Amino acid sequence: MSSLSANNHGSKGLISFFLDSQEEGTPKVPKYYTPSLLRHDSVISFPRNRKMFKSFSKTWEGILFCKFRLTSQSVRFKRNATLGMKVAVPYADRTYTYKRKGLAMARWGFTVDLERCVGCQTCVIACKVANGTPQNIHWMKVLEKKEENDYSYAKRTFVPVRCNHCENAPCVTSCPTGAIVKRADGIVYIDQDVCIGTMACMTACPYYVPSRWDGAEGYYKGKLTRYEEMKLKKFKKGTAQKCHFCYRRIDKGRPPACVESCPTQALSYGDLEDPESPINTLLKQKKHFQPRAELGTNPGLFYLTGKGGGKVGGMGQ
Amino acid sequence: MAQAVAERVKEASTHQVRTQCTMCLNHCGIIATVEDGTVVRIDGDPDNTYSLGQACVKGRAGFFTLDSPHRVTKPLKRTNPEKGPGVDPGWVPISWDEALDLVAEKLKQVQKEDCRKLWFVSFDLVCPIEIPWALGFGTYVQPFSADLFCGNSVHPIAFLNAFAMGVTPDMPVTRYVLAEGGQFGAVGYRDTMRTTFETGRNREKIKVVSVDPSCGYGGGMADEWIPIRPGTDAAFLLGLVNVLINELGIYDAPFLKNLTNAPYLVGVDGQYVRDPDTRKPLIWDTAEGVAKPFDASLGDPAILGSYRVREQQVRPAFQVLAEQVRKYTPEEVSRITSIPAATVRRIAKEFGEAASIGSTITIDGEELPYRPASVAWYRGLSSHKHAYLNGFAVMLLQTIIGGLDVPGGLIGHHRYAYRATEDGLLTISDRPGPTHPTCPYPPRTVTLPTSIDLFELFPVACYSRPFAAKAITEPEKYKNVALQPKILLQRRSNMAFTGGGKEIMTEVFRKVPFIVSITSELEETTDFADVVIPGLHYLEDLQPRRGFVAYTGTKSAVFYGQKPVVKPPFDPPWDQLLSDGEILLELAKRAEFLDDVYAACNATWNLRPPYVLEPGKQYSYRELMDRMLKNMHGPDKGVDWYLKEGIIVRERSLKERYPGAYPKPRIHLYHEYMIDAGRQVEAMTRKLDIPWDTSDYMPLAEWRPCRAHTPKSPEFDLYLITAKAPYHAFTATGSNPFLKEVGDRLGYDCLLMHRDAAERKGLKEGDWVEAETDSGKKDRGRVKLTTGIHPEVTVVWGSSGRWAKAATQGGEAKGIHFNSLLTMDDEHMDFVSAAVDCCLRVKITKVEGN
Repeated sequence: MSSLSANNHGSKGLISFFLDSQEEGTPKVPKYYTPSLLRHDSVISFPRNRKMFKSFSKTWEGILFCKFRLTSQSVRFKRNATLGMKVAVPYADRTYTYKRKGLAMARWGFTVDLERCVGCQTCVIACKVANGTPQNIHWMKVLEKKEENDYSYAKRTFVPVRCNHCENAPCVTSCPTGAIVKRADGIVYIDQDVCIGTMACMTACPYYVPSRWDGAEGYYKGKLTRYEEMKLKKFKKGTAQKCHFCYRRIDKGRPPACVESCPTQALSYGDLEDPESPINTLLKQKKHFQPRAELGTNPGLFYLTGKGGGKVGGMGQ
Repeated sequence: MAQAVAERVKEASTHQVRTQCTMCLNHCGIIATVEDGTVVRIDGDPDNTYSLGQACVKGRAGFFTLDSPHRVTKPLKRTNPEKGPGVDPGWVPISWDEALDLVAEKLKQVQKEDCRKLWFVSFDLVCPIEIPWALGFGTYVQPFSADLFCGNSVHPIAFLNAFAMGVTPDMPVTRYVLAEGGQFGAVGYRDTMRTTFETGRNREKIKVVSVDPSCGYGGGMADEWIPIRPGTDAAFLLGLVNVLINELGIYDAPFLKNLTNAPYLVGVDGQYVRDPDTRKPLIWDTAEGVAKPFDASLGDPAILGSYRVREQQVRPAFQVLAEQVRKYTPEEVSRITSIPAATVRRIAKEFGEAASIGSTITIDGEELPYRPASVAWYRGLSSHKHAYLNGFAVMLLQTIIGGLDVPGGLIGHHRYAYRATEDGLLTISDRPGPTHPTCPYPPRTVTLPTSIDLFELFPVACYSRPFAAKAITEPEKYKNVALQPKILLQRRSNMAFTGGGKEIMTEVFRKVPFIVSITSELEETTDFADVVIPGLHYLEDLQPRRGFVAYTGTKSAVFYGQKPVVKPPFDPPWDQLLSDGEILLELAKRAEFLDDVYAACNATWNLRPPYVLEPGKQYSYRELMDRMLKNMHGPDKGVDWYLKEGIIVRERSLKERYPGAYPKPRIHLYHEYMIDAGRQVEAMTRKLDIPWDTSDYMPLAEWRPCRAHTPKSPEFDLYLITAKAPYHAFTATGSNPFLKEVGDRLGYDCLLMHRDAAERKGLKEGDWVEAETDSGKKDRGRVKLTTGIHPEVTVVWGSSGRWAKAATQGGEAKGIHFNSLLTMDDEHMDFVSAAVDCCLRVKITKVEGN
């Protein structure tokens, strides 16, 4: 047997870690390659580099526990302060699913049509209800921008904001525990099981997106409603909170809750890699900009501002 | 989308129910997802073509209050005799039997005395039992709560010109919408978010121009926001009419000649010139050069010019109008409204050109007139001293372009059947008696007032509820003719907050000997109740709609309704509590008028055999609903079908969708009936020696300044008005923690002010100020600055300032309660439509923080 079986700290534990923390009904695809090995109290930190990784994955255990093919994008090696060595920090990968289904890898993005947004806050509540976020936590907000124009032409602009799922996400690189994960399809999400609330992400994010939930009473300052009892189970006190693109809905081919709920169809989403996707159609039709594009985060969000052309993928530059 | 929603649900403990939201008057179709006995999410119903598969922020948050700790779970009786806002009533729980017997006893006493002394107030008429119950008792149910700020400038004119309760732009087809003081496209009352759904679908095709003192949400989404001084919309609208008729010559002459009373000849007294024998109004036929009765065969009816008939110089009504509006030159309009004259001309030109007069469109194979320009309005024009005239002005604009009930124009909703009067003019054929609104034409004969709200003195209004407060608190002023109510029974309404302010409503409530509230949560009004009976949350109530609904010229009309999605969080008084209607029926049984209620059900629901209710029997609520549904839709569609499915979409004919394209009686351009109606009111009020103002009974719109237009003294330099936000409506939302949280983040409880005005007064963002009206009413709030507001205007959002514990979550009352700053004196009331003037003049001064 391979070296793994010699240190078989309960393969059942490993399997259950991989599999049972997932939702009913989701495809039974392991979340990580090897994170449990890295987080156990044992000093095993295996594999240590890309070469070892590759050979491991060809072993029987490797195949059993790491059903994907390694790709260079799907894992990176980062020095972990606690363990004092480089460890594999994976991207949760849907490569397997995509390759099995013969799909090209997507990059999910959003558009927000500032001409259509009426500031009704429907997306804010739709997100809250779909995800069961606790009091004071809004993964989605709609800001009412102060107008600076001259009175005669003053207008109000309503600006929906949420996580931009940047390509070069500073939150991902700043997270010391590897709790923030960037999927190969672009979605950035926080694994609350891993997060310990350092809030390095909050400092790193130039859009002030992550917030922290320090636990609180329910909305009614007293007894939790039945709805709250069901939903608050999913939230760990002290963790960073942000939009995760409703990735479970995405994986089932459904739109995020905010997009689905928008009364004026101001919110849209789609695959930026697909030239025919609705998002690219909109980007072709309307002028757009990325928030704080100069910072180089390459956010997956485009604000549409009016009629005029653009390019597929939004890379209008 | 429904399939996708269903796919998410695999477990047996989760299921979905199609039902109806009642967070506002829109009543969108929704799908409630139930998990383990409680609702966990609400989505739009994709099968509902009326609400277009959408649910707004309020609807999506609505389920959260199911488990509110402020729910009334037992009947309560007052032990503290003192009644006041925030004064603890000293509730003790009593049994259902005791509560129902107590109320039934009072009802029996009132029945012996005078049935009309039961003041029965509800909200949205969703409960199908309310109307027949009230009729069975011998009174009327009065909907829309305090009814202070409802469609005073909307319903009468909509009945008159569209034989419908209201009108809305034909969003799927129109190209230009002038939103006049109503945030149309973002949030607007009757049509709260439904229009938003539809505007969103067609956004790039429509130019939306918002004319509003506050940019708000409507101005924010519009293509152009035009700030206007409050209370001056009639001047702007008449300015547009003047430019269209007298400068640009843009108006739909064939439509006016043949389908309106524009050619009716008007004498110097302002009334029709009539044939001496037949009394028919005359029209001048230019083809033959004579005056003929309106129903003679006409060559070419004249709408302009001056003619001699029987030694009198007479003019067609349209000529009278054209001359009357000349004084609204763009320069004069600019002086009144603060809108630049060039803008007035430009908007008139845009609107007139967008109307595409003379063009047609083919829909479903038929060629129909095409007028893709519409003006939308609601509260912004209704809450004024001259509200009725405002309604005239705005409808005038739409009428002269021929854009009523045709593709792209204003389309009526909640229609009635119509007929022609002897004068050949359109009216509705069944006057809706059981409840208001009522049609203004022909005007009701003015009789000695006897009702609680002096309705008899309002022959052309659709209701007059604000005067109930006046008649109750100042009975001597009105010579004690008005009925003083003995019982106030409220269901799902909160008059303490939505009425004319804390002061006057406290006085009103203290004068009613017995008050009963059927409510799901304790709120502002229950502070005054003698008995509180647990009411159901809208997600617990079985209330089918009484018919189909359709807005705009869309093809389909929908039937659906409210369902008991979950059980109430308290033990029902009997086997099951399916509806608030059951409580009413039980009261009818104990007060011994149940048979009368059944008779009224037979009449109002048009029950035919075998569904007719027989006296002497006892039908459960469920059975009543079963009969009502089967009678409406067929023997296979009773309650079981309704609970399981409960939606029917039917197609409408082109004539149903666009009745303006087909022959029908003439509609009003010139409101000649007002003259006689005014005289009757004048005569009656003089006879009774009641102070009354009949100066607004005029046949044509005019702009008249309201009290606030000229400040009493220079320190009252700002207007204070109110406006809506999309995430709050009435008092349906203030106790919902999700919506409260959103509102708190956005500063909903603040006083919105222009930056320049703030600078002048040395105010900074977040400063505490006191707002004092020129009638001496005061309140305090924090200031929020913006440039998205007319510099002379400040805004307090509509549902802010709630003080009930359910809304403050036990904390301090936040924000200014706008209604408490109102003064319901004669200067601030519209004596034609009973509207209350909401243009306040205020002095804003900085105060130390709270």
